[in-house]
Amino acid sequence: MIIRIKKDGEDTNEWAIIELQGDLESRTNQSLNDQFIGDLHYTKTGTPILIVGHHILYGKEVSLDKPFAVLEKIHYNENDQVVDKSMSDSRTRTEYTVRAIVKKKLVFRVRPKPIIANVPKMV
Amino acid sequence: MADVKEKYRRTADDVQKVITLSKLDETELTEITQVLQFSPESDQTSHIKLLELDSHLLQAVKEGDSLTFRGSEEESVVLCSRNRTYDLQEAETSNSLLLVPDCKFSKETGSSAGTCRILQETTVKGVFYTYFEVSQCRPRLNKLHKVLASSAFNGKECESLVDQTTLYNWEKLVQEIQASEDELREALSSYLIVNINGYLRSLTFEYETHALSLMLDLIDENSWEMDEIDKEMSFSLLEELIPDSVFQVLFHAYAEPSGKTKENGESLFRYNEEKVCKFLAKVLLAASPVNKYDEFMEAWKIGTPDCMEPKDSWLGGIALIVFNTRKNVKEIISYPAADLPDGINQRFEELFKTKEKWTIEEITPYIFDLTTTKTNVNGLLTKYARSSMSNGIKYYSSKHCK
Repeated sequence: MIIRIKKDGEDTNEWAIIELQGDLESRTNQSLNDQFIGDLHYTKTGTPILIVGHHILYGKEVSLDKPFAVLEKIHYNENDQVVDKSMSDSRTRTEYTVRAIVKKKLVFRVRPKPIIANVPKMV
Repeated sequence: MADVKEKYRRTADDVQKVITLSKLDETELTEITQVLQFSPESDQTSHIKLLELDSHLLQAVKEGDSLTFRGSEEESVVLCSRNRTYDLQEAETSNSLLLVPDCKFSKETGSSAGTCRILQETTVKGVFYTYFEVSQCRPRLNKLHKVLASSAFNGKECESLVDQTTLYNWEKLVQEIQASEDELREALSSYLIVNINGYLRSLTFEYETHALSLMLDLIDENSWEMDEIDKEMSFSLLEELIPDSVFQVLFHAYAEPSGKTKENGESLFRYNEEKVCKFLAKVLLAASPVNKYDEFMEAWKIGTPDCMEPKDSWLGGIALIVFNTRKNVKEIISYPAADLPDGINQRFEELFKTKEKWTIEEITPYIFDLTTTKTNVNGLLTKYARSSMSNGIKYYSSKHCK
């Protein structure tokens, strides 16, 4: 069986990856969909700074030795129309589309530092 | 945070307060701050995969050169470009990878911090813990013979016996074989696969034996010199017996231009002695798998054209020369490399079970197909075998026994 990987349009978008040690979780255990994560700043010297909750993280901009292609799986029915995954059966054809290339990432490797404040009102 | 039902919207004021709280010097920050948030569908990312690319694959993606995944459900998938094949492996990371479509890097966020902070909402599409790693591998061609076996060509007179539904054309074959199209195309001639009326056919061992014998008989019949084989004449003499496309593939598999030319400028050929002798040895071994050394060498010599001299070193990959201590004689035993298991560990286990100690020359033909661009025969032996010296000769044996 052959599954094709197609290119999406003329140009390929360039996306980024933000790499965090550990995981992001919501304090109230609700779904992360649509939730605010934090503020991403850069210093003038190019260091990314991420503030999540009351933690501050210092990171680094890194070029990937091996870039990533972001592939999206798409199902087509026999009339070449895109169908939902749940609708796919033996007659549907699967293809991947290259949505973007990731060439650089922001890596936050060091332990987050707590922000100590008197006003606990924020976030 | 006036309206809790509404989605939380961050203001420049919020951001500024946090900067102060964090004891950051705002004048040291560039003017754009990206407010990260999860997309509304950030938990639905199972249809999105991250695929690592080397420079060749990156170029292929840029040029829109179509990449493909190939494999049936019981095979591990490979990734193919037009001319290369890659092994695909899912890699896990304990870090979380946040995929961010519109992320700005430091250079794009302005230089001087103006009087007011510019906020940009940046959406995280999803969090990933796995990605696919690729490493270039040899095309997986072992399946070729199996797939084509049931429709193999056994001579014109047997064609009516071939089940038409088992025939493969190029489009059908490409679907089955885990190799890039260029690699597969190249492999066809070395696997002696012939295009007969639009279908790709392998040759049965019997037919190859028959056809090659006819070709070789012409040498003695016409008293040709070793390096003065006339291709056109060979073809016209055998036209009735061997179809054109079969002849072309077979002839070029066993013969090469000798450098000499005919009077009309067409080049003359020479049969590759090693390839021819090797094939004839296979024919003998098929009839009798275990032979006394002297008897086999004699039979081999008789079976080859007069101008060729078989050498026992050419048996590598098809037979072993062993000393039978019980009978006190040297023997030649059929041991085709093609019958060995494909897995590296199983292969070595099998080899060392058959024969305890191997020299590098002996073992090379049996493991050569396991080498990759990164690991050569020596690399494989270092990893999967143990070496020892005996009388100045280096032998390889199993890592685990004795």
